[in-house]
Amino acid sequence: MSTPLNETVVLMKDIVKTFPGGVVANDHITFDLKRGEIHGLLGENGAGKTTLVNILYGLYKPDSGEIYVKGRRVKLNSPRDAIKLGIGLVPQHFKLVEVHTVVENIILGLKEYGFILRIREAEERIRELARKYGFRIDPKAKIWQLSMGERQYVEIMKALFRNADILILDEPTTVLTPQETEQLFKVLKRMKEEGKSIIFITHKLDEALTICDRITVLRKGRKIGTVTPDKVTKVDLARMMVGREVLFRISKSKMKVKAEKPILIVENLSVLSDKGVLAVKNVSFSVYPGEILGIAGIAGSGQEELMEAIAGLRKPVKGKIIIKGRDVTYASPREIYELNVAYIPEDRIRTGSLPNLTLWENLILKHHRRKPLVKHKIILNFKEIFKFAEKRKREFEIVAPNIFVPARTLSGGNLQRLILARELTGKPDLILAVYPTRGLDVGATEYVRKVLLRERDRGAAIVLVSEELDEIFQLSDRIAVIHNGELMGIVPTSQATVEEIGLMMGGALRR
Amino acid sequence: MVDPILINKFLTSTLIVGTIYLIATLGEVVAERSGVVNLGLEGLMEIGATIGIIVALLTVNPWIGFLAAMGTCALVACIHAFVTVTLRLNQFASGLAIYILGLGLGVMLREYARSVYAPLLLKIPEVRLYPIGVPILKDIPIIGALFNVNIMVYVGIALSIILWFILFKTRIGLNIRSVGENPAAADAAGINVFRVRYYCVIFGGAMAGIAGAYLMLGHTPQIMGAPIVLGRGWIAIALVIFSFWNPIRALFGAFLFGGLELAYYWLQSIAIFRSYVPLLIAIPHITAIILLTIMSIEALRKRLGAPAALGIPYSRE
Repeated sequence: MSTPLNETVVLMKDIVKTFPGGVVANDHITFDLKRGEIHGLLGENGAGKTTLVNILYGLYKPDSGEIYVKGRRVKLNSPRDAIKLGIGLVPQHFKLVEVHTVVENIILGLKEYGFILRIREAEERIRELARKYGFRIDPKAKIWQLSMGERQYVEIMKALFRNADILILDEPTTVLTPQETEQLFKVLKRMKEEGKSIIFITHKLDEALTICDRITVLRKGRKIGTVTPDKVTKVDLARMMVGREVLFRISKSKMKVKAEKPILIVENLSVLSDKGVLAVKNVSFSVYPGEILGIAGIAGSGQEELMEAIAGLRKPVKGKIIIKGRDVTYASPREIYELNVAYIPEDRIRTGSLPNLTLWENLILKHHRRKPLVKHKIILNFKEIFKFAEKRKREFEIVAPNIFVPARTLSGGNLQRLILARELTGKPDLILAVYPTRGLDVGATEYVRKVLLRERDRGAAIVLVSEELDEIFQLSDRIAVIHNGELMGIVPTSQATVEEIGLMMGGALRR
Repeated sequence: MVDPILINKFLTSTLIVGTIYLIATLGEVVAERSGVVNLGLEGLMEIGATIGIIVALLTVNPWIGFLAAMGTCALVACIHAFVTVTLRLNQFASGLAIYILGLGLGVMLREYARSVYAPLLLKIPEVRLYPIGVPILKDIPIIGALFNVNIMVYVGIALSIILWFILFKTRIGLNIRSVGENPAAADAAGINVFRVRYYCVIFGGAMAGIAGAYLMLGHTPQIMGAPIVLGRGWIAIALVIFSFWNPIRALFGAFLFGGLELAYYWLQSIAIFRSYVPLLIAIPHITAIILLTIMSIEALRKRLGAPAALGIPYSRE
């Protein structure tokens, strides 16, 4: 079955996939993968990248089109069929059993290691494969003890154990530090040299240009073209991806003179996670009016818990939170927002909105106790409410037929606009933004970033949590880096480098 | 001093009574390891008790009684599996429904049997399980208790060791544990999550059936139209937590609670304890309530090592 180098191992021809509701996710896409190449699949969210590889992995059935793997036409009914053909998928959200060991996760579902599991034998093979591709992994470690980078290797190892020679990596770098990304790229190159073929899905232009041999750009379900990195620039790629010119720099005015009094002071704060372990350890910082403090860190380093504690949604076990001079360590969320604090939560659907309620209901939330939205303290004043909601909808350019549709019908970007519209009503003094652009397309991302900068220039203090270093560097005045719940240091953006922040994110550097 | 013969007698009874808890607990451990709680244990045991004794008396063979109880309860557990795994409805609600169904069905059938098969009661001595009583060995102080029990006690102990081995050392065990911890991961690894959960819930039901039948045939044979399990099923559910979902640890928990149940009968004969008898009766139940409360607090449950997906229906996407 060995195919010579440069031979096409995967050919997807004229793939069409329409989802219920009429969304055409893949519109006559043709894609080919050669042996021993890394082929980038570039596109914004919703461009159809994941749909295309899910078809190749047997998770979705295409409406029409043909798939050839290693020269043979195939029908893929389930991932099982794909695995048999040597296709492996490393999903964006790892599917690992956290309390089990590395080896248990890798051999899960395999029959080769007997009914009474021959764990040692599997461990030996893991070590051997890891050595071959140049990464380190302890087969006996429990998954929860591993960093995101190491977990990725476990997923890759899972595919290798199933004899995959065609690997699909779905946005593999979103959870990695810059150093871990570099390490991953080395491993991928090693695999390529060994004759493996890799499909690399990303929306990051730099990465696509660094690692890929060829790049196929998708936009709104259509293939825009396939290019080689030596023939295009970042600007070209961005234009292909978005369909218009993209600003890479949002102009940011210089921060005005620092006010004397911080809006938010966090002192020696410790917070527990849902699992009851310390997620935030002894963290201290303060934020001044008119500045954005960016909190950088790998997802799950304690930033969510930290922000929930400040918003009053999680009670700290130790330390102090002071907002505008008031100790609010144990205050309720309502007491906190009445201090004019805006909270843009991580989960837009579960925490940020009421999906089944209408736009206007979502928009007046938090403000529905104040005049003129209520009469006699409890009766809703619909005339004012509708006026208010219409105005907000217009101001924040929320695309929806009217204010009476349920919030769940909005797209991710529009839902975020809705949340911004609600939270930024009343000119907040403190804004807590948790992953405000996660999962948004380039246009919506640009919008959110501009709004945050506008609020900063107005004089609001902003705490911004993000996993995109680009975003942190673009927006923040100072960068605080969190690793495993600890603050590794706070650096003014003008003095920070990506490498340094990356090392701090990985826990290797303290400042 | 306390009579050594008396101690041996106490320990023997502890093992015999503890086995009721043990078998029910083991079944529930397996079900919960796959991610499904079955609060209907008490009801299933009630059905198992009824079917066990009636069939045993009709066939004059306790083992056929055990088999019938096992099969019937496995079938009833299928309802729970269908409702919680296929229909993805609330496990607690379905479990409570099974409890009420089982309690009613068990008591009603027993009442009916009493009116129809009254003469069969004479055959009870022929079907009940007697202690084996290994000569000489059974008279050794303390350890001797182990050699003076009925065969189901050994079956229970053997089962806990076998189930521990299966859960932690075999492929099937890894599959079950993975399904209970992260069904999406198991699904991605090609494991049929639904099938695993069905088998585990049905296994748990079958074990509850055995426990119920054993309660009758090994402990208190009778055909009365009144509940007989008396909260032991609920205690078994608490024992699952007490044993941290580990079959070997279930062994200790079950015998400890067997002892607690008996302590009441024994201690009331001692004058100074007499006034505390009501409190003693309550001990196992109070402990069960505390353990069940712990289970309902999510953070605590996770810290104790409960399967992460316990109680959560699985669906793709």
